[in-house]
Amino acid sequence: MIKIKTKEETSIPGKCFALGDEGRLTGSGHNDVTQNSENEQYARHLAAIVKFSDDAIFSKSLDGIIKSWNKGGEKMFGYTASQAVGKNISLIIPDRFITEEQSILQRICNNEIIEHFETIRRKKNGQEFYVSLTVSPLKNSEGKITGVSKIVRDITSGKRAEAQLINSNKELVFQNSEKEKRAAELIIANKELVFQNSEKEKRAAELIVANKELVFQNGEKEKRAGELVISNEVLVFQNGEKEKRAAEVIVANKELAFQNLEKEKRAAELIIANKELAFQNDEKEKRAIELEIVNRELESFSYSVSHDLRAPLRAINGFTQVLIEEYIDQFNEDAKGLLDVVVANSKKMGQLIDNLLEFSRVGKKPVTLANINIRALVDAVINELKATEPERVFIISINPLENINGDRNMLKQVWINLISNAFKYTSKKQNAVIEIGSYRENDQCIYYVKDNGAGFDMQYYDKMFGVFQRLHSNNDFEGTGVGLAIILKIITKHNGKVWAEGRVDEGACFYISLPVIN
Amino acid sequence: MPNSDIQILLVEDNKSDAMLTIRALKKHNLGNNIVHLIDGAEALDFIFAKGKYECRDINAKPKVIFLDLKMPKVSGLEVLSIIKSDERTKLIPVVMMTSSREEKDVIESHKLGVNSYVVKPVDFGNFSQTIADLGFYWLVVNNPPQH
Repeated sequence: MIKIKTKEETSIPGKCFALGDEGRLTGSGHNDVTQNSENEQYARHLAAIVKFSDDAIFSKSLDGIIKSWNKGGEKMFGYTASQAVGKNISLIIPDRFITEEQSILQRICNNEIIEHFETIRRKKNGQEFYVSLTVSPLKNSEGKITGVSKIVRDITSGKRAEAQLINSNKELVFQNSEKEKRAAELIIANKELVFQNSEKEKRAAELIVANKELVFQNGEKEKRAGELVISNEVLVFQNGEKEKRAAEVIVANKELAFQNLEKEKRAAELIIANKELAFQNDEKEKRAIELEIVNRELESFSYSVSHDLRAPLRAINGFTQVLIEEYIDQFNEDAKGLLDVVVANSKKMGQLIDNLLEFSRVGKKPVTLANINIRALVDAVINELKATEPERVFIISINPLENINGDRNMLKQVWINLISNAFKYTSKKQNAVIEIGSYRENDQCIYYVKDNGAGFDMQYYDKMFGVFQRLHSNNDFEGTGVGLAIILKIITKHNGKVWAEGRVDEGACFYISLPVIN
Repeated sequence: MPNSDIQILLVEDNKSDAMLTIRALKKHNLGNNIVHLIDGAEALDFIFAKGKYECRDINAKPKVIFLDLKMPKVSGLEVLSIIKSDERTKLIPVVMMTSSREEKDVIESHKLGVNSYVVKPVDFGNFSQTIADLGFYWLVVNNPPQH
C-alpha cells in the first residue's frame, strides 16, 4: 500500500502505479479502455503532484541506477534531472552509507515498506544533510519488483533543532549542577562571612574602645609634647651652658693635669722630705728622751744643790758668826774684818744658790692663767720694795696699766725684778725717776719700766738676759745676774717678748709684751 | 735619861746644823732637855720606844719635833708619815726643817700633816732668829691638848 500524502489524503485501494518520467504512469494492472481513460487522467494528476512536490521523489533500478528525478530532487540535491538520471544512486550517498542502501534494498525485496528512515545524504556541493526516507518497491505488471521509489524529505532543520535542544539540555543540566555546587559554596561562604562579620563587629567594638583610648592618649601626648617643647627650650639653653662649661672644664682639666703633674713632682719631693722629717722626728724623739733624762738629772742636781751646798755654807757662815759673837775679844780689828768678809761671801753664795734654784724652778712650773689687775700688782710691789729702802726718795709716775691674763705668781716675780732693777740702778742718782706704763700693739699688750739710772751699753745687749751675765760690776751694783734671765724665761712661757733700750748713765727702758688672751 | 720633861726632839743628820740649832736654842734659853738623834730610823725607835729605846716610856712625848727632811736610811717625810698616821703620836707637833724650798716637798709635807715647814737660812743671824722663834712658839705660845 502506497500512501501519498496530499492535502486530502487519497488512497487508491487495490491499485499500484509505477511512476515513469515526468510522472507518467508507466504501468497498470488494468486493461479495459474505459478504465484506461480514467486511469490516464488519474496518472496525470499523480504526475503533477510528484512534479511539484517539495520532497525529492525519484526512482531507481534494482542495480541502483536513477530512473526518474523530480524538481524537488533538483532543489534538494542540486542535480538536475538530466544530471541525476542514469547515474548510480551513490551520487547522493556518502560512501560510509553505501552498505545501508544495500540493506534497505534487501528489505524492500522482502516486501518491507520503509518509512521515515532517517539517514544522511550528500548534495552536489558535497554538503551532507539529514533526510527522512520513504522507500517503496516498483513492480511491473507481473508484480515483479523492478525498482524502487524514494521520497526524500530534508529534515536538517529538525535535526538541528533537536541537536540544539539536546545540547541545550545538557548545557542546562551542567549549568544547574554548577549552580548547585556554586550555591553550596555560597552557603559555606555566607556562613564564613557571617562569622567574619560577627568577628569584625567585635573587633570594631574593640577598635572603638581602642580609638577612644588613643584619642585620650593623643590628648595627653599633646599636653606632654607642649611640656616637652618648653623642656626642650630649657634643655637647649642648658646644653648651651653645659657646652660652655664643658669648654671651661676642658681648659680647667688641662690646668689640673698640669697641676697634677706638678703635684706628683711635689708629692715625690714631699715623700723624700717626709722620710727626712720622719728621720728627724725619730732623732727628735731620741733627743726628747735624752732631754727628759737630762732634765731629771738637772732636777736632781738642783735639789742636791739646794740641800747639800747650802748646808756647809750655813755652817761656814754660822760658825764664823759664832766666832765673832763669842770670841770677839780675842780678835784684832784686822781679824774681825776678815771674819766679816767670810760672812759676806757666804751670804753672797747663799743668794746665788737661791737665785739659781728660783731660775730652775721657774722653768719647771706650768703657767696657770688668771686675769690680773696689773696696776694693783705694781702698786703692791712698789710698796714692798720701798719698805726695804725707806731712806730713798723715788719719783714714780704710773701711766694706765692694762689688765692681762697670766700666771699671778710668775708675773709678780717679773714686776719685782723689773722694779727692783730700776731701784737698784738709780741708787747712785740724786733723784730716782721711774716711769711705768702700757700700750697696745695689735694683739699684744706692751708694758714698760723706764728709769734714769746707770743705763747700759747696747753693745753688750746680747749678754744682758743670760744667766749670771752682768753688765755692771759687783762693786758698782750688787747682783747675781739672774733677775733678767728669770724675766725672759717667764715671759717666754707666756708667749711674750722681752727687750730693752739703754744708754750708759742716761737710763734704761725695759719692755715686755704679752699676748691679749680672751 | 730623864724622860719626863723632854722639850724638843731634834732629828738632824748634819752635825753642823745640829750644833748651830742647839746653840741658837740655848742662846734663847730654850735649850733644856733637847734630844738630838742623827737619823730617821733612830728617831722612830725613840718615838715608839723600840730597839735601844725599848725601855723608854712611850707616853713621854716631846713637846715638838724638829725634823730634817733629807736624811739617810729613813727620810724626814717617812718619819713624818709614820708619826702622823699613828694615834699615839699624831698630836705631837712636827716642824720640818730643810735647806730646800722645793715645792713638791712643801706640798707633800703639808699633806702628811706637818705643823710647820721651815727653810733654814744660810745667814746665821737669820737662822738663829728663826730657830728661836720656832722654839718659843711651840714651847711657850702654843697650847697643846692635855694628856
